[in-house]
Amino acid sequence: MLNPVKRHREHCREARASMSDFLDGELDGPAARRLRRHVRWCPSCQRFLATFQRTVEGLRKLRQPPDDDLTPAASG
Amino acid sequence: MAAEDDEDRLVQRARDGDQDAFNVLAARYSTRLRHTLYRVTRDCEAAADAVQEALLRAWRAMPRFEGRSRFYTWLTRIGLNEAYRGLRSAVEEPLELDDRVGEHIPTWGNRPDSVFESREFLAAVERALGELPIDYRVAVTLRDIEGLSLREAADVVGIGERAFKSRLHRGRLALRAMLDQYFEEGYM
Repeated sequence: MLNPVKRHREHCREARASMSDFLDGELDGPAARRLRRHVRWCPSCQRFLATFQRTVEGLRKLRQPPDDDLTPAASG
Repeated sequence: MAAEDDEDRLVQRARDGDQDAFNVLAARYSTRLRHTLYRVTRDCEAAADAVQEALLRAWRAMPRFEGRSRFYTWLTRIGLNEAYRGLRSAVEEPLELDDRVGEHIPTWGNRPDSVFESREFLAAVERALGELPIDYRVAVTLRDIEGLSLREAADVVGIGERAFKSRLHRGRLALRAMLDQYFEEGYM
């Protein structure tokens, strides 16, 4: 039987591996609930999900055509 | 007439050799395709060339287009192949992904929403996207920027949906790690 620390890390790994599926609505009900429950109690994964979600939202906001100011030459 | 019916008719006519119908489809999608290919190549000229070549190849292959995917999905696949051809000389090594990067920045996820709406943040995302290994860049571009479904995006790339999901996830993780580093360096 895993000790609590190892078990917690295992849950963290599982949660992080499923975050894309979670954001894409691809997780089934029990898996999504498991992720939400873990994130509620794990500050590290909570932060991870928040930053991961911000990253994906940032990408989605690029959906409009790239303009001159966002091209690497202009912004870098 | 529903847009889908309209497209089906145009595709059918183009398949039968009607160049006007093909031109309507080309005009409808070439700008969108150019934007997608720009995000992949990071080079306006290369993207425009790949679009032209893709349209030519699509026109020639039109009689063989079976309509199992949407016309745009099919055209994007051809366009990506063209873009890849141009990029092959600059093969990039995959990133070593470390999920722990940036975890010591405790407030990253708690910044006000307005920060993530800002032009600066979007420019940072755009720059980070340009640094991603090509396979990851294609995956996040098709899914998150283009908004294709997982199935369509996997179809465009020519891999199974499960493999595509894995690639997409790794690409998003890599981007997240890059943005963490960016914030760590003192942005805002």
